[in-house]
Amino acid sequence: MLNMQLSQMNNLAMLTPPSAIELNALIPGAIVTLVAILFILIDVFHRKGTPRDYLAYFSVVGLGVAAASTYFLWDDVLARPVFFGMLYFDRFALFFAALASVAGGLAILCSPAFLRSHRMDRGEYYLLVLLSVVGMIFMVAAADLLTLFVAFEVMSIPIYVLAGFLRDDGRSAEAAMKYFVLGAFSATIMLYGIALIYGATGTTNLEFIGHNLAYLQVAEGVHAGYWMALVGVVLILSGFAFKIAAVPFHIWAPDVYTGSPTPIVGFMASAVKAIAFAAMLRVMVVAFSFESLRGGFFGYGWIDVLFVLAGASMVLGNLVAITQNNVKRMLAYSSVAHAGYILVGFVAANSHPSFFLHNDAILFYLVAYTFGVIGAFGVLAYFGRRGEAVETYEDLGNLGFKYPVMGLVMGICMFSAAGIPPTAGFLAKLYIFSSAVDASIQTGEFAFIGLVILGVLTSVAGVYYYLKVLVYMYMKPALREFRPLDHIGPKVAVVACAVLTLYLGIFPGRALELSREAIVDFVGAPAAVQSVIDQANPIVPDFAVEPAVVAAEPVL
Amino acid sequence: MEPLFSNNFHYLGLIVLMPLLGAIINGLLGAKLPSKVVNVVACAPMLLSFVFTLIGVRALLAQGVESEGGRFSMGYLSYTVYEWIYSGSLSADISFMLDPLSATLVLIITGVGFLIHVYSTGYMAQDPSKWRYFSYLNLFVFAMLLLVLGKNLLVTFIGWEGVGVCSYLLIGFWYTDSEKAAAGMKAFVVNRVGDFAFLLGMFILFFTTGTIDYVELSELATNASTVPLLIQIALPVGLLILIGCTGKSAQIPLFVWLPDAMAGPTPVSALIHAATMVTAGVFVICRLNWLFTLDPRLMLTVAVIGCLTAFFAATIAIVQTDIKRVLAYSTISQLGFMFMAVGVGAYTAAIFHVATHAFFKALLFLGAGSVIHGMHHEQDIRKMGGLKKYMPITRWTFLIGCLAIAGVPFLSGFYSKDMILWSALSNVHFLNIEGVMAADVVMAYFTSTVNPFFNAEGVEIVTWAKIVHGGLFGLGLLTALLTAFYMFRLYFMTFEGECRADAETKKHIHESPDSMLIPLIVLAFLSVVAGYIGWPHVVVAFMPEALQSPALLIEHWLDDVFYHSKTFRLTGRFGDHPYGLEALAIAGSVGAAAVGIGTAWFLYIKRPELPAWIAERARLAFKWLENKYYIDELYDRIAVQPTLLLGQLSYWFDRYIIDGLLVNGTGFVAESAGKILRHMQSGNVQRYATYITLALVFILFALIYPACF
Repeated sequence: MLNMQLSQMNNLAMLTPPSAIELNALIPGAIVTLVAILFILIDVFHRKGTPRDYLAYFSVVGLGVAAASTYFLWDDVLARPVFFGMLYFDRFALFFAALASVAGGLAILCSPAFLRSHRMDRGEYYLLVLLSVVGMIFMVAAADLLTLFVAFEVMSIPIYVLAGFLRDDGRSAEAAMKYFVLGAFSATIMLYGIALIYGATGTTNLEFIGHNLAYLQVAEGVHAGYWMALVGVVLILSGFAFKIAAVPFHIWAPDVYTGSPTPIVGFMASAVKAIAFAAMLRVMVVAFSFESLRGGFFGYGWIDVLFVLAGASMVLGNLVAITQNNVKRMLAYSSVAHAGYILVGFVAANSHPSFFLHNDAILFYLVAYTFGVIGAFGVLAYFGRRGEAVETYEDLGNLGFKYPVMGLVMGICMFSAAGIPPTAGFLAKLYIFSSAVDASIQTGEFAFIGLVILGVLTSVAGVYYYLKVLVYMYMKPALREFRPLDHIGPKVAVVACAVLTLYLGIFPGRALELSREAIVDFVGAPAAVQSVIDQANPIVPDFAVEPAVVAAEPVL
Repeated sequence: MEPLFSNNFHYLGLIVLMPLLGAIINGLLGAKLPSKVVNVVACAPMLLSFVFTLIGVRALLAQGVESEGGRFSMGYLSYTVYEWIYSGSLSADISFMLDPLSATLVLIITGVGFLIHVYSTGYMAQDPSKWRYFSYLNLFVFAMLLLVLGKNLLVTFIGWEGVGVCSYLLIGFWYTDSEKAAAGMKAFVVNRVGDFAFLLGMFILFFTTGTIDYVELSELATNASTVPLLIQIALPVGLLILIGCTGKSAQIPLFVWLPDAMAGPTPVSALIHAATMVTAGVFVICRLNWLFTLDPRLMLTVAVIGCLTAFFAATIAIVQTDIKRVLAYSTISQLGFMFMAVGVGAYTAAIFHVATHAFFKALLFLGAGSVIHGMHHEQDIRKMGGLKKYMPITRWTFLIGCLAIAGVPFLSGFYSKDMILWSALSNVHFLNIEGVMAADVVMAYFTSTVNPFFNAEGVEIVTWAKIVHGGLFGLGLLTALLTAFYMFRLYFMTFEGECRADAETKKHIHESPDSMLIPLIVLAFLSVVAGYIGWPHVVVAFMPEALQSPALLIEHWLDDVFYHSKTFRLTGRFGDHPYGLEALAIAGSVGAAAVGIGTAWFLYIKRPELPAWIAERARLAFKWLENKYYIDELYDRIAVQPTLLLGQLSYWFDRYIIDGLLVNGTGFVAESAGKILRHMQSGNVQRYATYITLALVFILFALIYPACF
């Protein structure tokens, strides 16, 4: 067995040192890391009592450079894993690296005045966001369950700390505690899943896992290891479901969203969710595409699990959101509902290899959702002065007229979240649902159409509570006076979000193209998926000639 | 043929953009801008658009090539502003197309539109919300240009709705007068009925063919292998779109809104309800000509609707006493002529009439506006008379307009109306020429399924088709006579004879300012000469060689657009040119004009007491006409009242069943469910962890349990 593994390793060129070109894979992550390190150095010399705005801007610029670097690396991607099969360097990873950087930058922009008003103007805050972004960048690039898990924790732990950053505020501390305990709990479960997978397949490399799992199916049924693998897959899946806040693993979200610092909630709800989706896509497609594990159409595999999760998230997220009084809590449940919508697309696009390209709808949705949600939380953060923060619907009374720009931004973000044209949210939902309908028509399976109908119905319910925000902002009297944080940062951030939301709704062409390119350049997919990709993209770059894995004899 | 400027003729975007800019500037800043600036901002875009259109026409001519049979083929210019959604079959481009058809319309819209804008600067000079008026007017032109320039049905439909909205806003411009506001509402609601049908037709077309692009559709409709697909839906789609067009173009049965629409400022009536918007229906049918000619039954319906509308509206116009209402019914009647032309397959004649009608009817409306302006908003012609000595220029230009619409030779109306009339006589459907049959797309299909009344041997004309066309011609001729009569009744009662206004008004009657007179003079000039591009063939045959081509300019210009409908379809004229019929039609229409004008002169100048005597004798007929055949009352009884009743019923249903039972019920259930689920959120971390574990166990159980058997 060792011989066999080694021969495969040879194929991956694992025994040769990484070539210079592979170092490119590190660039976005390295930039953010470098920014973080420089940040510490500068922060040491920070004069006490002066605002830290310049540090925030420095981080934003750093993240902007990281995002820009993905643009320049877009054509330098590699068709095989790098660093001994530890990382992928493809457009899919770059796409999400850019998304994470932008989301981090926007969240940081919203923060300086917010922190000052809470008397928590500390450099660690920005540092933690930066480090979390580093984790995200490596998480989507992970080609090995171990890289994945390490990156997963690098992403999560700063977020736990950030959730409790307002440590004088009891709710913030409570939120952090809950998030940490539950997060650690679910990470443990996930780790256990990884261990089981390792036990079943003898490897942690995603492609090897995918390869080896095929041999669990033997002529007379399934190998005993199959069940071990199945349990492992479900446990790993639960780790992702926890991060994307899908029912029933969403249970932490409302409490944590309500208590955490508002800009961080925007970051949590957008970037963390997007990255978790991306990593889940990578792991599930590369490692667990094996047909009887995948299931689909109630063949009882992970697709069916996600199918149920999608339905449950849409229904529960929307229903409970209706009854909330607290806007942040409402947005928490709405983010659960959005996880459900995205899962609809996820389930449809991955239920069969031939639908793989429909994943671009998910990418577009995540981009649209990111700007919408950061914009909404940005507006809340703008009205988030210590002791007089806008929390309930009543607090929003008349704010739309008093602060027209913020009202407009909130309106656009809510329209986008509700899926009303001409915002990005509408097109995103349209693409997600049409990909599910497409899958349904092509397979003749009604289940997806049922899921789409459920999705449309629940999003109609969603319109109620999204528009309620606007009703209060424009049609109800102000009950209390609020002094907004008079700072340029959140203004710039939310206006940028609103403009992008409208832009993506009216001119979606470029973003769709990028999503499509990112999906077409998805590396590591099994042969069935790869052939679908190749059909969509007949021009194969010359470095992609040698396949990553060659067929070999059974492992177990 | 490949278009020279394949998809990047940016001027098309500019044509559309200019009026939009004008509307935005005046709409946002107009209230604060000085009056002169408002005028310039309103008029300049029109002129610029007109110039850009001329550039477009130039480019169109430049890319024209001589194709088979000596036909000069120009193709089209197009420009895509942006592609909104592109994913699979769903695509909605905002793109424009300039071909000879849309170029003709755009030239009319921007050219006549410019003149009317200039006129408005005088007419609306005293109005405090002039900026609002100009903003709406520019917006209207923008929407109209979208309608005409659209490269697909979607853009056309956006424009279609846009002109509806602007028409509503402008009819109800003086919204403080509740009657005028109600007129705007009526126009809007009646149009909605048509729009609904139009949209439905569009959907059927889209779901059957998967495209709404005119170029793609016309390729489908003119290709032998794909046309059977369209033949099946030609009738339903055509009828639905026809209903939409009857709404917009005020034809039976949806014409009732146009007379009431005269409540708006008079230049609006001239621009929207005479020259441009109401011809949109004719334009759309011409644009989809390859669809309409697929089914002869459809064409016949269009022709009959047009002919009947023309006749009925003309009879109503005879007894109207409001200067603008006479013109409104005359517009409906002339639009009927255009529909008749379209219905008999004489598309060129229809567009020709759209053009000439735009000139002389705009002229008449503006002249009427000048009269109303001079008389201080008096519109009743019984209180006018003898105005020729007070407003000479208005009188002369109005007379030219009347002569043109009456169909007096050497004025534009004669040429276009004559072309329609003799087309009605000679374009007999189902006429079959062997060569055409052989060359055509799916003639077998036509003979067997679509067209049961078509003679399979196909040599002779079906007799009743001849009779129907003869009837169309006869009724058309009668309408022409009536037209001449009521127009000159209007002219004589307004400008000739004794002035019947009271002394106070008389003192103030004055000629209008230059800004109003100059457009009148320009339009009067155009009303005379516009016809010289479409001489009857029988006259052209006697012309010198060099003049023959310009004398038939309109036909050559539009030939390319209607090529398939005229050459490869069952409708239209085949074979040698029937000079005899043409001469007959000319004689008939000249005679009709002479009789009509003569009668009017006799009744209103020579023996002015006679009309009252006739009215006395024919009391019943008079009453019917005066009440417009009681159509409004009929609609009120059969459509409005039941709708109101239904509305009340729906309100009750909505209030108690939908709202009470369903919405509140659903809300209650959702909220209760939400409340119950909310209790899961206890805030207790250990319990949360338990939930997660339980969920995991449940999932694993569900996955593994089925395999245990």
